[in-house]
Amino acid sequence: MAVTKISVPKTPKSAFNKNRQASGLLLAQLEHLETAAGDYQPPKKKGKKPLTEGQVAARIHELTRTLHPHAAHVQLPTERMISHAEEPYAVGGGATPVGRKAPKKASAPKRGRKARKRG
Amino acid sequence: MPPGLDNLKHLVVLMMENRSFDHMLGGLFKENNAIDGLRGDESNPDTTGTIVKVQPKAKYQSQLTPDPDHDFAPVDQQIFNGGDVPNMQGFIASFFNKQRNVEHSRNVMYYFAPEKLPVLTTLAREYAVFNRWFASIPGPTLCNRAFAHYGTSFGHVGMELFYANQKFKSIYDRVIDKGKLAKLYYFDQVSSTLEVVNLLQNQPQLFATYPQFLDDCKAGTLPDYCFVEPNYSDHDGPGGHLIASDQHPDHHVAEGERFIASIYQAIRKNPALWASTALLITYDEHGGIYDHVPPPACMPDGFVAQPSATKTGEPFHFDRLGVRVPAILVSPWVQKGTIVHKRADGTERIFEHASIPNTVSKWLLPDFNDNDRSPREAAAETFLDLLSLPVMRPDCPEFTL
Repeated sequence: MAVTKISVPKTPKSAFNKNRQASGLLLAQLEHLETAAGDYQPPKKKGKKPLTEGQVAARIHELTRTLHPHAAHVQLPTERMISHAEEPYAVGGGATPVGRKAPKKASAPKRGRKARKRG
Repeated sequence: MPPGLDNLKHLVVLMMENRSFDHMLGGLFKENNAIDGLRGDESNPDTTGTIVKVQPKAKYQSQLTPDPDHDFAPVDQQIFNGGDVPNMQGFIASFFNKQRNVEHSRNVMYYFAPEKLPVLTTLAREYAVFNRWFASIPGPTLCNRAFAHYGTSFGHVGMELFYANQKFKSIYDRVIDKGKLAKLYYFDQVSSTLEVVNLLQNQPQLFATYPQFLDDCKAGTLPDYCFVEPNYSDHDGPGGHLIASDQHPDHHVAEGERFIASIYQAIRKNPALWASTALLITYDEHGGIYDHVPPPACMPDGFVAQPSATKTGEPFHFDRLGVRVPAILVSPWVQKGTIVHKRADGTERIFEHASIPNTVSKWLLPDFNDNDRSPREAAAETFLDLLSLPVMRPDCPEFTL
């Protein structure tokens, strides 16, 4: 029986914006990770710019590396990995993963806690 | 036992972010009126009193910014609009409060034309779509996701951290305590995990990342139960930009479609895994976006949120569900075009996120004591009966990414 194949469009590159203001969800996630890592400090609210998504992501990366060091040694996801999830491979393991590169050593993101805002 | 359930070895749950049923799947009503979507005459008043009908004008990005409110009090407004009966008439009024722009406030009434979401709508057509899957709480992300992990939010209706050392164990702990395997796959260390940070802190062995999920699918080594988290942020990866795939406004919805398809394909391409795996795709809550079905009352979970937490002036006894969200069960053992709505006796089958740990418990831990989980979870509807076909389907679609 024929299997229908449905093409999934690529997301436009213009969708990427790590400079958008961080959502309340990301800020809450950051606060939880800081608390778990014993690194939480109450936010200073006045006169600070809101954090961007990229800034929060960098800090989340730093904290997650502390809490879950195991994942520092595994492959990092790439756009190519998502695109090739449908490719065939040998059943039972042993297949060569597609689009994998040796993980880069991530540079330590700069610290800098700014005003927090829930949303 | 149906052969599909007999063959089941893995249950995978993928939980996306902040989209209502009608917003994502409401357009399917016009091709199949058994799907409880949008007829086209559903409406809300805007703040000028103008009646605004739903329209298939949803865009992938830039329409829902700033993020529509979905804390407890705004959702209460969206559902009740100041009345005593849920009427789903307060969505525009609630969104107006974000920007005080009448035209912009109407955007929460827009839904996607089905052709704009080829992955989600294909899965809904091909497998089982739930007409009555609701968020567990009329509130934000973290307390809702807690119901998927713990069967309760332990009395919380907000975004605070509160899950450590609680009276009920997570579903992962329960599964592992019985000698089975469970895992949470987050996307990468930059995206990390939501709300189960206490587990990350104390039981990091429960966690792995998306690349490991792909490898485990290839190798056929998925655990008995696993929970997959999308990418929650736009960030740089080793091969370039990684676009957030959680579909949380204002993240691009199409990237979420690609992520859902990648999870599906990773399972689909391993024949042995495909035959023995069920994949549930759902959303944590509606994100302040319109849905036309009033959330029903439900079994209280024994906790009470005080007025200081609800900010409505009233306590909340966890006796009403949140707004309806998309939910689809995928398996070659599911009848094509299944629409989950009513039992043979005509009563509705109502699902919520506590259905996830209850389903896992009933499947993997049949002797689990109801006293060791919340009353809400123990009463929640389960869904593995949908794997009902006598033989596996040979015609399941594939996606090309």
